[in-house]
Amino acid sequence: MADTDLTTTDALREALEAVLKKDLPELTPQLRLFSDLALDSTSVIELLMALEDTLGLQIDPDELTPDVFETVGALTAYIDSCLSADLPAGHGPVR
Amino acid sequence: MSAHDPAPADGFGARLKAALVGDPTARFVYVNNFEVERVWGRGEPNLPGTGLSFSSATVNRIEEVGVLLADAQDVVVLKDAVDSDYAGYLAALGAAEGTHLTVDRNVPERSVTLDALESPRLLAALRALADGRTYLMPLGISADEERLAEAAGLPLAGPGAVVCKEVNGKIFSRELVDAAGLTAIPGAVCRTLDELAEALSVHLAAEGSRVVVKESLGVSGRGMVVLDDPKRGAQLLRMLERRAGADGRVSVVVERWIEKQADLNYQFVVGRDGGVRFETVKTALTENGVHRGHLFPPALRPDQVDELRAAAEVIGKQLAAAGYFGLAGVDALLGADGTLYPCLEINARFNMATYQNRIAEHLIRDGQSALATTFDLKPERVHGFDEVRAALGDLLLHRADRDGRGPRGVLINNFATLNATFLAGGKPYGRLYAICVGDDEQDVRRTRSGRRPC
Repeated sequence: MADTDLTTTDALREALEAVLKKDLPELTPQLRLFSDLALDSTSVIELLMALEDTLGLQIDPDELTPDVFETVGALTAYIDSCLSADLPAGHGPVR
Repeated sequence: MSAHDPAPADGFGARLKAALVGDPTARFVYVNNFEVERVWGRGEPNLPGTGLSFSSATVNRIEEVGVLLADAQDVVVLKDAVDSDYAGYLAALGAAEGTHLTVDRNVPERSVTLDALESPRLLAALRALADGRTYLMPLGISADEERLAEAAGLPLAGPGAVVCKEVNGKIFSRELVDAAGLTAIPGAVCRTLDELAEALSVHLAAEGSRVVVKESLGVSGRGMVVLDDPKRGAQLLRMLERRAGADGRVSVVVERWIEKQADLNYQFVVGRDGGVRFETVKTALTENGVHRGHLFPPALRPDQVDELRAAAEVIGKQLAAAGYFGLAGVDALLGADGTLYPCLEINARFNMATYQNRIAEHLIRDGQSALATTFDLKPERVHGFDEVRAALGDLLLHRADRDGRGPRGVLINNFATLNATFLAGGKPYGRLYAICVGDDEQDVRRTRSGRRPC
């Protein structure tokens, strides 16, 4: 799953850079979205939209909990779980 | 505490009491239920992701700022006791004079009102205050505060929850502005997905246009999204369609993005008799719609202040006609082209600025400036106020006067939020609320940046 993790992290970085309108350093799983990357609550919807664009997946915002947005690692794990639920085994994300 | 102590004959608290209960020396029991919008918004259609609750342990402890509002005869209901060194610091400045009553058990994720409702010891103490001149004065009134008033045997100093919820909607604000002929930001009220689609097609069509979509009962940056191209508009509609009920109901306003010189916030009190009294106007510091502080006095011309005063009269009369009485804070905007938009939204409740009113009257001299602000910190353990005092050193505002020139330095006006999140779950996130006071704007900004007073 290392490749998939890398792809998800890259997609998240792309989405975060679009929302935050700035280049970001390499994302590590421990980075906190709010306090380290300065994401704010107004940007959550924009981030969800950008993730839908980059990964082609549909996120149900009503399923989200604040823990999902705690760290980069928590959000990538959530995205991966959406992707594996959406797609037959052995397929990568739809681009 | 069974009898009233002598009350000041004037000051913000006395004016508020005179307007709301007809007695400037009444006793108010302040319950500072921040983010009451969460309760008002229950069951209402919302935007995607806005049900997420971030930092609620910190938000719920902003309630401590209420200690700065109380006069000697007043009571403040708190989720936890004030740090004794912090209480001593405030007392020495004359900044906090009321009595504090704490809930029986502080549950960090719960509002002060819900904690109070689960507190038999506190409720008994509140019932003992009932003397016909003691009133419950929440930040804002929802069904929770109505239940608390009943359980405490104290009348509310404001109208019922149904009225409060209605007049706090951004839809109410926008319709009032349109009906009253105040200068409105181009936009629309949307109660259905079809109306939202129409509004986005109108206001997002031009090249380079941006709109902001705001949930009617959203708060503090949640429940709003900025859209800068039609593709994003279509995407938002799809997200909403996936979750909207069969009736396609939404509850939002759409407004074109206006480049600004300044955000403004003004306060006035609507009396029980419908009279309107203007209180303050301040520059509001915001980032992406999230409140970051206030600067006062604002850099406005006298005619601009007069325009806001006139708007307050118009809005106050409409609030009174809707059955509201109490404090109202209105967000306004001074556009980059000089156009003054006097009402973006009405918050018919206390605002952060309200909690500065008493201390501003008490401490800050005419001609001085103040910057209400926050310091975000990463505490890795619980800190006492004495450590903050030591860290600030000479920057701390520690005396009310400098030989007749007024005070200078950093006044901490909420300490509980430094430790709230750490105490709730060990996460290193904390915040101090402060008011930097100085001789002018440059002076207070210098203090905010951590440079020692000259």
